[in-house]
Amino acid sequence: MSNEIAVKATNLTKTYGEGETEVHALRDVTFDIPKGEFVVLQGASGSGKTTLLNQIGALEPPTSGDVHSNGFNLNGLDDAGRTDYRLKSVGFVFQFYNLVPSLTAYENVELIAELTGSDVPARTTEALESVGLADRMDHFPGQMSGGEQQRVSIARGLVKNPPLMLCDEPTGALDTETGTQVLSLLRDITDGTDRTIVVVTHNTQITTIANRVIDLRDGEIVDTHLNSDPLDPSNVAW
Amino acid sequence: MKLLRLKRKRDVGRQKSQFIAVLVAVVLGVALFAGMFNAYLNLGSSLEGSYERLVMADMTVTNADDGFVDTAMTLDGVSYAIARQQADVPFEIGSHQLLGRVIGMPTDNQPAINMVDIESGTYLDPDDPTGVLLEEHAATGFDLDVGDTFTILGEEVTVVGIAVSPEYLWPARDRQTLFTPPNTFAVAFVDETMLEALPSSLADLQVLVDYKEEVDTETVDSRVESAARAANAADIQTLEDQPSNSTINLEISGLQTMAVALPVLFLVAAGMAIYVVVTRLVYAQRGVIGTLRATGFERRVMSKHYGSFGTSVGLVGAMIGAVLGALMGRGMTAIYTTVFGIPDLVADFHLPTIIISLIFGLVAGGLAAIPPARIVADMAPAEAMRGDAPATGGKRSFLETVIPPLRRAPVRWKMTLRGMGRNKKRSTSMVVGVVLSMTMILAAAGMIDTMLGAFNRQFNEIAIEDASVVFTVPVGDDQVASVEDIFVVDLAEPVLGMRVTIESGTDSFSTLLEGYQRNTQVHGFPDGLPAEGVLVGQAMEGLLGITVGDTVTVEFSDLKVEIRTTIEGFLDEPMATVAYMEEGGLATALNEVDASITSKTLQNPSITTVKARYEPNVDPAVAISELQLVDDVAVVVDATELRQLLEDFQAFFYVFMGMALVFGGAMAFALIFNIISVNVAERANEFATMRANGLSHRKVASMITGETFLLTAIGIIPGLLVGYWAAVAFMGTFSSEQFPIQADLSIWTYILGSVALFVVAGLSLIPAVRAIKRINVGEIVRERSI
Repeated sequence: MSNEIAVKATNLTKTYGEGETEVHALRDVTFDIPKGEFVVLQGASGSGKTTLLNQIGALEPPTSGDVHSNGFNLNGLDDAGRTDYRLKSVGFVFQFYNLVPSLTAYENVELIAELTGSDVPARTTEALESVGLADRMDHFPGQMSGGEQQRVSIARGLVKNPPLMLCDEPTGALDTETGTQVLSLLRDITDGTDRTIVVVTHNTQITTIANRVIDLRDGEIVDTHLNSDPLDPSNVAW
Repeated sequence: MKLLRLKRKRDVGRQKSQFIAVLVAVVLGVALFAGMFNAYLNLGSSLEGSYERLVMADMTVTNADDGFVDTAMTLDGVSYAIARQQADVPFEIGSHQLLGRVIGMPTDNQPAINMVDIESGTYLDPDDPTGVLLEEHAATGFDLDVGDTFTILGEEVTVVGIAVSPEYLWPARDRQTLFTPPNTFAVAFVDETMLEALPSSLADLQVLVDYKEEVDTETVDSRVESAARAANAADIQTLEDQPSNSTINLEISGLQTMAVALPVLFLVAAGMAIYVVVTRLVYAQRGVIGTLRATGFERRVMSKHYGSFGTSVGLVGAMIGAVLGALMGRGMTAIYTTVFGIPDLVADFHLPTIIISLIFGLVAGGLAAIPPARIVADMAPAEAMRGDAPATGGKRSFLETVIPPLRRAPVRWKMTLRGMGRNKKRSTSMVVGVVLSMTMILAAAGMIDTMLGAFNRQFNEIAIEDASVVFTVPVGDDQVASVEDIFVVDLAEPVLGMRVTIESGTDSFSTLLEGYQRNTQVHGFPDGLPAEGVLVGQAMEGLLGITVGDTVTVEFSDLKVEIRTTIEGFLDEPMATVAYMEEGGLATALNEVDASITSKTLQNPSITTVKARYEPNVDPAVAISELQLVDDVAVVVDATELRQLLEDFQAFFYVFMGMALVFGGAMAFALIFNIISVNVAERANEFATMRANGLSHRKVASMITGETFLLTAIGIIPGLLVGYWAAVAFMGTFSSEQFPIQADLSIWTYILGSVALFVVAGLSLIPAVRAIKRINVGEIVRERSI
């Protein structure tokens, strides 16, 4: 870990709808995330954690406030700029994997690798090997377990070697054992690097493996605390 | 179930654009059916009404023995018979010389058969022997009105009335000359005593026969025909073969075919669009279906509810279509009756057509909704409540299997290839939609191509004369020379033309036999004109059951002789089914059976004309006026005018074909738009994830574009084959012995038809591409993750 800041959010506010249907998903949120940290955004349903993750990932613009991430001022970016930021700087992992069912594991990863530089086959293979799927590369998503599919989606995020990985409920659709394996994998890909991982979860057990835990409630940060000695994911169960 | 109806209404509202597209396809299909079928029925009724009111003859017998009119009256099934005289004689109207037709009429009253409608002026007056009724087309063509004068056989006559005749609703001179250029033909109804004064060689004696009501027409036809043959009739013509009637009926039967074929295409396409949209709705609402089933809704109620999306859109579309169709039917009937000059306009509202239209819409919607309704019926509540459909296994595309190097193609290409196989039924629907659209395009455009091709062949390869010059005196070398000597004429040839009946066994076919010089330069014969024997139109092969080398009897009705000759070949001529012989050979053959028939006999002006070709770059108007100055010329028929007449006639038809093309494009748009919209909606998460991972919306859109264009290309290939077949079948309904036309599609039609479908596919993509651009990645990801 370094002291450099990976993500800096200032007075971030996000509202949906207007008038009677207006919902304040985020209210004046300010925080810093240093590079190399494993950060957990925790909160109940509707607390604003996915909205916050989407703000960091430039998936939608804020209503007000600023987000700086890995050298990008997200507020100043148009659609093409936000796409470029996501391509170069962010790897996403979603709860339901969202793999392309007509592409093999290898091709799902290769699709992103092709967009981000040369040496595509080597990088694709390396990404899949790093998630333990060297022998499942030619399988289609429909032929793989949920855990395997989630590992493919992690490899898809990793193949462009982004400084930031954003994971939205990555274990939400998995059983405990498989979920633990996925967390270990996420932990492994940050250890010894400057890569930052932000994980959204409502599972309090997962907070024990994080360096930093940000608690959200009703769109506000109610607590931020640091774990001086995070647990190894293999010791976590739910 | 009131709430389910409310749910259906709101569900439709949420997928407005897709249901509107489906509705448009149903409306177009039903409107086309209701409109065209109503027009077909009304047109038939209008024609029938005019025939009934004016007592159109069921049979016309020409030059039978004296007393045939009495014989005819005694035949079973015959209501009445009358005799009249008719002759083709020179008219001079203003500066126009032409070969007109005079028909004798009683002056005290209208004839009992083949009466006329007096449009203006009065009927013939016994005290005014020079007063004539002028047929309406001639009055319009020559701009003549009541009180105007012109000459018949050099005698001045006065127009006392303008008449519409059921025999000349379509102003055809005879079965071989269905298209007569304006200013070259006119019909005048005259005091019958005027014809009695003509030499018998000039006038035909006709017996008009009217049948009783409710008789079997074919049986009475055959009875009258036998009696007429026994009375040595020169020509026997049923109502079905009557030139004007057969031309109009050809159009009516074409309309009937279109009235069924075109709507079927639309309704199949609409059905597929309904299937795609409702199936997508069922999958999108799996969770809702599972929950409702779990809370006690019966399987039957749920499947009926989702099936009702199809029947509702089908019924609503059919109702709108039926109303539009009824209006369209009235308009089309009015246009057709005007074009064909049918005096009676019947524009009924045919309830059975409307009921059938509604059934068509309901059936199309209902059948299309059966598969998704069955999916609902088979859905297990627990599984359905999990929401998403189970993941399907992927596999490599067929193309990657047969072309292994494609496996090394960029992933986006492979994704495009495999995208087509992800939902086979949907992809099949799109391919079938493209096939149907291409079928409609080729059937419509093929008709235009075929007609243009037929005109080109007729006027550039077959009838290559520039003008036919008809004389009032026997045509000998002097007359040919007098035409050829004119500075605008390059060459001139005499051409014989005689009414004949060609017989083989018990089959016979009445037509025209033309005699040309051996090396004629005014008519194109692909393999030349044989010195002996006869060449006949291709249609006679089937009509008479003959082949090359067979011997046939050729009966010359005007000369009252017959010869035996051999069939030397068949000619594929699009505008007529006639017979050809070398003029010298013909004269010899006739002379052998009757020594009194000499070449002088064949110089009879009603038998011989002179056909001429102009010098290069001659103005036809100048040529016509020069030719008319030649002594004893009755009429000059200019080929350019004839072609123009035919093209003008077709122009009316092209409008309908143009409409079919536009409707075909609309149908393709409705179907492709729906399929793409559903595709994009179903893959929103996939696309959102790609966008989240840094793929630009252009790259995502390019994949959908690639899939759409590939499916369009796949549909175009069978579409071209099916379309060609449809064009052939379609043209078959417009083909007759008078117009033995065969489908002849230009390569450009295939190319432009394919390009048009790619353009339609591209246009259909625009909303989908916009939807991809507008995908709210954050919202989709957030909704799926909470």
